[in-house]
Amino acid sequence: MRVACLSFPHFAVQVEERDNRDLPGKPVIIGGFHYEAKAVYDVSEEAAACGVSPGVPLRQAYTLCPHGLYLPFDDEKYDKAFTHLLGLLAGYSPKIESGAPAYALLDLAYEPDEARFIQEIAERIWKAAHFHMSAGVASSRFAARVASQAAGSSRSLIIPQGEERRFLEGLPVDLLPASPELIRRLELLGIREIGKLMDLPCEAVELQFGAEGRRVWEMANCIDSTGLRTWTEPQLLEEELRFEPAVDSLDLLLAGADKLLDRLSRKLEKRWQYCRRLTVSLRFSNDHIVQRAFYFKEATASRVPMLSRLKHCFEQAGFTAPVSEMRLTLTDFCSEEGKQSSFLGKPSKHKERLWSAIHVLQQKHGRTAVKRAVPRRNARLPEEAFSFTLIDPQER
Amino acid sequence: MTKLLQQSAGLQVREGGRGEPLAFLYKGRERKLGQVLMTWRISQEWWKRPVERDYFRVSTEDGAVCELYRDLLSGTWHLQRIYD
Repeated sequence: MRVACLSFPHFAVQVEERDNRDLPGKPVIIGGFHYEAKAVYDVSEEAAACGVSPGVPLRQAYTLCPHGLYLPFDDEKYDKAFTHLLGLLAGYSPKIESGAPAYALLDLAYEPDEARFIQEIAERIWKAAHFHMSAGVASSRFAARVASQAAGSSRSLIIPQGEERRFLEGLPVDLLPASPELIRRLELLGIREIGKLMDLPCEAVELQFGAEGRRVWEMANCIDSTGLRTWTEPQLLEEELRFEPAVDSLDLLLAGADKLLDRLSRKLEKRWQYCRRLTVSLRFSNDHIVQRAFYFKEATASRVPMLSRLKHCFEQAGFTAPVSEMRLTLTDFCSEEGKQSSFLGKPSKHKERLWSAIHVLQQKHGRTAVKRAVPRRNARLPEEAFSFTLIDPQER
Repeated sequence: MTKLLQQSAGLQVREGGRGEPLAFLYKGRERKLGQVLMTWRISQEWWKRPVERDYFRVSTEDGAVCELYRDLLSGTWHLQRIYD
């Protein structure tokens, strides 16, 4: 297997720079306005030079970079831009896999000239979408991902077949996509480089760290037999409404939402589908953006439960400015059988539905909310019979 | 399927003459026990986490089956597992 990993560093900043040609070269900070109690999502290199990094509170970022350009976080816009990119890449390889944050893996099994191929893709993406990327090519997903990070902006690094172990052996173990606890334990045992982990017997690592240990050992040794998952363009239904003039009355806002939901539910009925997720995006007259996703335990096509969730949300929220634009998006579609009552109906779809449920719970409560229970051998106490490990979306 | 209680809180248990459980208070209601189905003891080495427990798998009068244990180090009772 030969895999190319294309990474798009500072993707959110690149999207904003694409939409506003005055931004390149300026310290851009995305996450919200400097007085908001939120965290930084992404920064441009100029802002990073001032010491601002993702995750820092915006108020702290303002003390580090008072002259920065603070922009609201528009998740939907970045999602759309990345989906467009994946659509472009799908024209180059039948098998592509998307990953977060903003990277894509391409199958290069039938590509004889990898360097030329990467160069061609980089040029095409720049012409069509104005995005910079870095690329890494190797014989496993993990090695390709690390190579793309090591390559640096707008460059590529191709690891020849069989050279992956040499490339990875000197790198720190914290590059492995493992739980912080596993990395901490590896370091306590003096295993600080990937090369040291490679040299251990797989059975010993599995005995000490369980299934997660086996997975990281296989990654370190570039054992990657699962193949790439084929990306398919996500389906969504979207409706938007501009308020002119902007509205600040709850009744007008709900009337607008009702109108949009009516259109959306008619579309769903025509498709004989149900949805599990509704996203509302509000743009205020002071340019603030608020987005909120609602997940339905039972998939629905009716506007009544959707409107009820929106009404509750609008009533709870204290709007600081009139709303100038509202966008509603429906995603996570399923047919009638996706309803909760038939969750365990067909064995062939158990895994698919389980992953869908995991995805919904992780979106709603965070990545650490759902854990895998791994049986522990030789545990004598019932409460120690299982250990709980984080679920990696890549295992899907 | 069983419901395993990871960190079971202390349980109020009415004991018989030989220290066996007769009834326990769960969710505000006294559950009388019908039969003790099985008993065993777990001792764990002191260098790990010292544990001394007497386990009782019991059925209640309303038909439920559960596992209780008495912590011999503290003398407290705990509910460990409830069978479906």
